[in-house]
Parts: sequence; structure tokens; C-alpha cells
Amino acid sequence: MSLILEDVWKSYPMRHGRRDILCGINATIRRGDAVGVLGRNGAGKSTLIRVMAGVEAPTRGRVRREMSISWPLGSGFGVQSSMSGADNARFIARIYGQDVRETLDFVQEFAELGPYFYEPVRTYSAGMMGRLLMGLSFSVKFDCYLVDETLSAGDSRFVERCRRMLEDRLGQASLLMVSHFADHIRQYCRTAVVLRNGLLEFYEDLDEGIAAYQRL
Amino acid sequence: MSAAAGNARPAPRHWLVEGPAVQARVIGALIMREIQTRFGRHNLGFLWLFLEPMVLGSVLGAMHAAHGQALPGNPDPFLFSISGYVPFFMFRSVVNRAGSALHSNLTLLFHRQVTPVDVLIARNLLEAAAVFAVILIILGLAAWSAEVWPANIAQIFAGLVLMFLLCHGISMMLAAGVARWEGLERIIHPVTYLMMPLSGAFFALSWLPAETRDLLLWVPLVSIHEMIREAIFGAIFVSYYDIPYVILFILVVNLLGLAALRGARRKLEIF
Repeated sequence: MSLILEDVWKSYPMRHGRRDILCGINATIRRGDAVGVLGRNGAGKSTLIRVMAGVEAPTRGRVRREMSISWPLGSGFGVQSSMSGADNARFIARIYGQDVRETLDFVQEFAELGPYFYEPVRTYSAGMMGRLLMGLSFSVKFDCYLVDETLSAGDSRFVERCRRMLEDRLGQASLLMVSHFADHIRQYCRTAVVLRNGLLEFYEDLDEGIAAYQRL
Repeated sequence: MSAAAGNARPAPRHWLVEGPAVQARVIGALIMREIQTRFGRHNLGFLWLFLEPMVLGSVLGAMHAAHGQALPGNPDPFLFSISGYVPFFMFRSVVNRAGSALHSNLTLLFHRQVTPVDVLIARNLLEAAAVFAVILIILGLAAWSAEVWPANIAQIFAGLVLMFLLCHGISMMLAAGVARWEGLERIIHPVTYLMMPLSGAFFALSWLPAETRDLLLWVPLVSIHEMIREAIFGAIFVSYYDIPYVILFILVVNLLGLAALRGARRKLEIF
């Protein structure tokens, strides 16, 4: 059970011709992996996550999803801002085929939004949005969570809760996390990859990977 | 914290079963979401969905009735205008809203199983349901107050189904078109406005000379309106329509629409 990328290319049309963002990436993410993705602004980290999640098809190559994979969890993705947190939870429950009541209870307890749970999501602060997103995604038992900067907005209490949740599911769930902050990567991940020039460099040792990133 | 809800991976089923099951779930969820965001939880809610075409149609009908001029064939003027306006309302609102359909659901496309086609199906079904309900109410009122019985109820609904399929195909093409060329959205409104006199919603073909009639029948809306009108008023005037042509037209726009939407997903800028 893993997520496998085979020679994945992704390019976007720009004003002057096409621009390759991912240039033939090969990678395998197994159950229980916790990988931090590092890279400079515009290196293609979010693109990589979107291609992994199946939101966008690769221009060339293949993504094999042998486990269930979350949608990319980041700045309001997959959440409708004019609906309340509760309505979003209902929507998630329905499209992933789960019990609506249980999902609502779970998200409310995990995200700790209080009365804001029933207010439109556009009124949320960045931290509240992060809590809602993580609550929504944890309510569905994915095998692999793709996290794009969401966790960085949370306070220490929330970071702790997320970590416990991921640890709870460890051995079953894997995590792929994009962040600019080496600290966050250290908190959640065990290995690191650096995305540079459209290719991935793998580091079994977290600190080595972070050092390589900081030298960029 | 271990009270997590269900599993994302239920027992694997054959894709022939699983595919439609997922799609039905997604469309159901999208319909609920449309109802919530469009009509809110706090005000009159989704009653507006019915009230809007109802009020507009009634005002138009009342104006015609007050005008007092007898229409050729002498149909009830109120029922005549409302029976043209309400189906046309389905066309107008489905087509006009197509341009914004994908944009206002863009973040939901982050869920792999939600596709642009699902978004349009959900929106259009909601719109069609409203128009079906309004027609039922109007026919009920007509039967009760004016004792006008429709000649053929099944034909009315067959006409409305054709109307829905036609609008759905066109809306898919437009949604895909807007994803490619944003400027297209600005043209949609004026065009649907100009379609009004050409749609056959407000006149019967039998009032017109034969050449005009033949020309107008190239517009599939005209055939559908004539068909619905015949179903309501029966033979008080001759109705002209070409259903095989309409069905062919529907097939073409739906296939083109599906193909265009498939290509549109990669054009959508999801940021």
C-alpha cells in the first residue's frame, strides 16, 4: 500500500511557452512514512501535492494511488468559504460517504471552534481555518495526509493535538508535509525531500535534508 | 480523540457499482450545498427558488390579461404567457448561471471525486426541480380557478425534460468555454436576453407565415415551447414542432459539453 509517482512531469503554459515545474519525478511513499517537503518559493511544492492528490493530472507519467489520499490540506482548499464550518463538515461527510452526525461531532470536538463552527468560514482566522481543515481531514480516515502549510498557523496546543492524532494513526497513516519552517518539519516528519529544479532529493536523515534546504 | 468517523476505504466494489454510487453521493452533497449558499439558512430560504419564476411569470401573465386583446385561437391569456415564460425561465437561469458555476465551486474541485460535470448536474437539477414544481402549481391553480385542464400532462413533462437536457448540454459547453475565455461570460447574458423573442415563448407558430415558421423551427427552444403549449391548450391552434431535430440537437450539445468540460479541468487555475 503506497503512493507511487512514476516519471511525473507537470508543465504550465506561460506567456512565453511552457514551463516545466516537475521534471520526471519518481517517488514512493509507504504507509507510516512522514516526509517533509522543502523547497524555495515557486519550486513546485504545491503543484507536487496537487498532482499527488489527483486534483490535477500530470502532463506526463503516472501517479498510482494504492492507498486513500486526502485532498491537499492548505489555505482553504476544499472548503467553501460562504458556508459555515458545520455545513462544510456535512459536505465532506456526504462526499466521502460517512455518517453526517458522527463527522459533525468529531470535527466540532477536534477543531474547537466554539460558536464559530456555525459561522461562515470566511470569517475565520488563519488558525481557525487550519483547525477546521485538519478536523475535516482527520474525520475521514485517510491512509495518507497531504498537508500544505496548514499546520503552521496553529498555536502550540493545536500542534500538539495534531501530532497526537497523527501518532495515533501512525503505522497506518502517512504524512507528506510542505512547510517553509524547518521547526514544523522537525515536529512532524522523520525524513525529508528537497524539491529543486523540478526534481526531488531524498534525505533519510531529517537534519541533513534541512541543512541542504537552508543552503539553497 | 479516537472517535474518528468512518473509513475512506470501504469494502472494494466493482467500479461499475462504485463509480455511480460515488457520483450520486457527490451530486447529492452538491445540491445541498447549492441550497445552503444560494438561499441561506436564515431567510425565506429555498422558497425563493419557487417564488422567483412564479412571481415573474404571474406579473407577465397579468399584464397580458390586462391588455385585454384576445389572442388568436382565444387561449386564456394568463395561462398562455405563463406557460411560455416558465419553461423559458429554466433556459435563462440555467444558461446564465453556467458561466459562474465552476468558479464558485473551484475549491470543492480539490476533492478528487468532485468533477465539473457533477457541479453542473447538481446546479441544473435544482433549477429544473424548481421549474417543475412551479409548472405543477400553475397547472393546479389553472385547473382550480379557471377550470382549464391541460390536454396532455405527460407531454408537458416530456417537453420540460427535453428543455432540461438542452439547457444542461448548453450550460456544460458554456462553463467549459468560460474556463478558457473569461470574456465569454459577458456575452451570455445579452444573448439569452436576445433569445427571448426568438424562443417561441411568447407567441404560437401558427400566428406566423409559413416561411418564418420554418426558419424559427431551427431554434430548438421554439419546438419545445410549441410542444408544451400544445400539451396545455390542445388543438385550439395548430402547433408545429420537430422532436427528432430537438433530440439530435440535445445529443450534440451534451456530447460536445462533456468533451469540453473534460478538457476544462486542466484549464482551471486552482489557486
